[in-house]
Amino acid sequence: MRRPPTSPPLALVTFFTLLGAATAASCVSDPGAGAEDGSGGRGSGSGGNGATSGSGGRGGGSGGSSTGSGGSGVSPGTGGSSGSGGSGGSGGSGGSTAGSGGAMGDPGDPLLPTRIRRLTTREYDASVKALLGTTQTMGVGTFPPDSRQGGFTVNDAQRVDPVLAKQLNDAATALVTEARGNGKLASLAPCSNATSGGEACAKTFIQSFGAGAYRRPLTNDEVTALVTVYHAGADGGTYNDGIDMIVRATLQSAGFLYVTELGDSTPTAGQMVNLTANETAVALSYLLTSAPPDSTMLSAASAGELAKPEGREQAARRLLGTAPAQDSLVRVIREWLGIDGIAATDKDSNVYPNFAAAKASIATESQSFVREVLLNSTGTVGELLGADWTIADSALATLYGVKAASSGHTSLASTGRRGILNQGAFLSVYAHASESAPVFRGVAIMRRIACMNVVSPTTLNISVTPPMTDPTKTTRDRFAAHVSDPMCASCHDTIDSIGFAFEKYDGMGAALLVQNGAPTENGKPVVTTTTLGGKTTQQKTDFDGTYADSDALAMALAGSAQVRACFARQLFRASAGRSDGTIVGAEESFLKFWQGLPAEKQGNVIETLVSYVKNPTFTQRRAQ
Amino acid sequence: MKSAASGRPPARPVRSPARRALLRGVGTGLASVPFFKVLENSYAEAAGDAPIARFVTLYHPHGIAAELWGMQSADTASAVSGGATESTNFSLTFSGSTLQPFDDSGTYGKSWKSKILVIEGLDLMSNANGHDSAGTILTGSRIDAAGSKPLNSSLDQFLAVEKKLGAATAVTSIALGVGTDDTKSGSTLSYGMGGAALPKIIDPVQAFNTLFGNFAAPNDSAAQAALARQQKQGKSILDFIRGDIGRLRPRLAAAEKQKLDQHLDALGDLEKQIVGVSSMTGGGGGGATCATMPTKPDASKFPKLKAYNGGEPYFDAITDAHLALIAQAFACDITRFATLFMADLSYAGNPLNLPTDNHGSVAHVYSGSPMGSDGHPVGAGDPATWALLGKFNKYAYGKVASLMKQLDAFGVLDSSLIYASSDMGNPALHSTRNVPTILAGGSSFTKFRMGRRLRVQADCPSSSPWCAPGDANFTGVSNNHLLVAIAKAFGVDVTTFGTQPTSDLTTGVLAGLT
Repeated sequence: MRRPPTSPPLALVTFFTLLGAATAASCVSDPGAGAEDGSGGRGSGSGGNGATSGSGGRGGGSGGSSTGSGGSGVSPGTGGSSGSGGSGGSGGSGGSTAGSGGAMGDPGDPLLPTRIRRLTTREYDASVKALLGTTQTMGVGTFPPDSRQGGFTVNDAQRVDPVLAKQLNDAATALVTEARGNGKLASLAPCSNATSGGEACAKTFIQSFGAGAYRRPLTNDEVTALVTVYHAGADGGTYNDGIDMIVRATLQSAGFLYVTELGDSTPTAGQMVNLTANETAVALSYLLTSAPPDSTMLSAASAGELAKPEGREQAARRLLGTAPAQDSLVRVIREWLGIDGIAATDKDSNVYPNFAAAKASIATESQSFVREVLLNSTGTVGELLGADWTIADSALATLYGVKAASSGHTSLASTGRRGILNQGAFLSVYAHASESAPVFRGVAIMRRIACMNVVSPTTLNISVTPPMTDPTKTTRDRFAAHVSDPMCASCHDTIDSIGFAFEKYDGMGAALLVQNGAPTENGKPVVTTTTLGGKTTQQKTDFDGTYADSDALAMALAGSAQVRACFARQLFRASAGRSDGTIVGAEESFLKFWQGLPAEKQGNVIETLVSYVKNPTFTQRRAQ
Repeated sequence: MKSAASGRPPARPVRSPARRALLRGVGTGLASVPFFKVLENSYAEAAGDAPIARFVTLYHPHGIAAELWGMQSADTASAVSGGATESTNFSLTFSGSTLQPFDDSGTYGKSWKSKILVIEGLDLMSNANGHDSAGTILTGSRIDAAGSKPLNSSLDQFLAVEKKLGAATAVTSIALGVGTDDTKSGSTLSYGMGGAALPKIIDPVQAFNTLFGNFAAPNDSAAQAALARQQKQGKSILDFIRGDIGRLRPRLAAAEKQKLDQHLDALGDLEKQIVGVSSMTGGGGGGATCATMPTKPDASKFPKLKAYNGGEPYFDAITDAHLALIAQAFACDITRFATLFMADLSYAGNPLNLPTDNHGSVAHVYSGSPMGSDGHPVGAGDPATWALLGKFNKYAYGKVASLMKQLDAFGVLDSSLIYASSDMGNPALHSTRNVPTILAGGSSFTKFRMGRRLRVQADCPSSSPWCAPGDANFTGVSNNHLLVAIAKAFGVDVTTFGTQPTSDLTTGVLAGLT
């Protein structure tokens, strides 16, 4: 049992000097509220001593006497070269505060800048599989996790750090060992006369394998350099040793690890550049399938098909019928909402004893439901947000208080639960280890669903002081200072209004016990009615209004044009690999193009993606 | 006995002729690494080489029960500069003491009491939730919530990379972790420039390969031949990769070039590991200078590695494996900079007999007295909860003591500064104030006076015990001042470290250390 400590005086608002400001500011706030993807508590296993199962929790979660702390969950983007610079604190410091932005172009430019982009760990695995047929997934399994931007793993700012460099080296050696042992390399690099004709055979192999690895024909310089590598292995060794060396080198080289979007010349800065046919094929393939282009795609590229929007559309639709593309779509949706963070979410077993057992079902739902909507139903953002059904196993159905369908859709009509925002994964990720988190939910929806601006307390130099837990109050009551203090209300009015609507569900997505017609918390009725767009609101939306609860809000979000447009932006960012201010012009340009779709297609996930691909600027870049 | 550091910056180690002769002479016939290194180091110092300075930082989760950790009423205390209090006459063996491992020769070989400095009262000015604040321990930076990252590099990386103190060793630095390989601020100690998180290696076998993968014992000619071939091939591959990057680089704009420049830096580190430092700098010998092959961790002891994925029962074994690797790596001078992010034992049947949920049922049930509650005038607290959390604290400090024992056995404790900290003081409050800080070792190059307790100035005056950071009367001491002092001990002359809104938080050496 937790014992609340003696309470301090309710001096919930303290003062903290803003840089250069005459008055200080602080706001009682949910710590981590500003966290872009402030998300789920860690911290709990199952049962106490002697329990038979249990992956214990750690970190995260709320305290005995203080609420809400950020837990683990989705890590927001921390791109390498876009790392934030020193914040201007007067401490000059020994530690370097140098940050470097990405390519700085004209923010109004409709074109993305020329660039290189490091493969994600998933793309690495698919790429080595295409080359060597391996089923090992060393990228996803052992490399450092991708650093994300806006929650997305496709990230322009990914880089090769010393740890990854070593792992790439080890992985290359391991893959060669495997491919040598199972005969794959022998079949890729045959040589009738290895003793005297080894170099000639090696050159043939270099050109074919290299073209596959670099996703384009090699230049003479590149071939020559790899012949040197061949000799480093073959001289004093065997032909096979030389081939092994070629593969080890290729799998760690820039041509393999980076996707280029540079065109085929070295233009002057400011010029418009067209991607080469190969670059277009590569961009399309990784975008849609997280894998390199297949031979059909490469043929279409060399025939000039991909330079035309219709050609790209045809190629895209072909790929979208394949399993890798479908997996990729599900992944992007989960990254968009941050619900892939469910894998690293845990709960305080004292408060949510059922979470550990239900977690797998909750995680599975976050994949199965999305897959079902996209592949077997309308495929729209509206349905993702507003569906009155889900795909549930019996454990999940028990959590939701419904009966699982033996196959197909499980109806949620009897409970009123609507859409992915009211499912276990979203509600668990955006919560603490031992309680719900209205602020996390509000911020997530504002940023990811509605593309509304939410500033982090860190940026405002606000000292974050959590509201104390209080077993005699509901969560909403404890956050009252957010709206009564005008300093807090300017942001939290909207944030909390959204978050409070979800208070009919707890921190793992179960519906609160209903007594006398209302959900209850600590024996008190929970008010889930909320109004968005009131007098003090600084950001109006097209879903402003009064809602009985989050299910009603979900239905409004499902029908909102602003939400559909925001999704288009999110898909742009997921695809372009950037969410920062330097590509605003390109994002706006895509939005205009997307708005050319008939209204009924604008909310369709696949049609939005096809629109991205058909956009004439898909193949155009601005030279830096 | 080695004399204390002269205070001049340690130069890049020079392989003096006398030292090279010694290395050749002791190549064969030595059974143990430690003896070899003691000879070499003392010989080297006698020959005028600067003392080698090493730095290892350990993180332990869940804060502390301060009542069982801090200065006790029976300890004699005297005032020192900066409003602090010190004690040179204190007990670590009172009932329930969680620092007892530092005075337990039966278990840890010696009493380490004279080699530790227990610092009470430092604050991590993370401006973030306690669970997101580990990133402040070595950066002294507040945490940017949006990016879950601090705003500057960590001290270990600042010293190793930016000040090049790690350039002379095969591995510039190594960041190890138990159970968690994510790079969020709550689980990361080491950061590159701009607060770019370094990934942690959570697999001891991978850590071994990184540290010792390119090592062959000097008296094993077959291994040496294989190593030489491996080095030659590795160099050839690296040359190719560099050339490949070189072909791409001119086509890029400045900002994009940075990506490849960072890649080239990473390759520089890889080259050191593959090819060995000495062949790069032209000195004698090749690669590592250990006389015998360090022990490869037994992977069967940890079939699973990750938290939430069945790894928890193996965390103890993983921690021990990592500690042994750090000690061996320091002993063999493979690296001089290491960080280790430890985990808890949240699994049913854990050997501490703690509740399965170490977080919810141990850390969060802690009910502190004013001593454990940032000086707030709360009630007397609940000693049963102190004992519960104390069990875990003692376990964590046992690991630190174990590391000291291993470093000492290799003769490198005096040349290794250990910094152990948690992200929180009172874990139930998620308070990042009054976090537990231990310094240990390093006597050959720091002037820190060990064998003491130091309690820094209290956060608030007794007249205003509820004051908070940002208030005019807040007098908390940030850990930044400790970081400045450590930098100076490594011969790097800075006056500030970290990123905070005001310079008083980042500037100046912590008073009372020397």
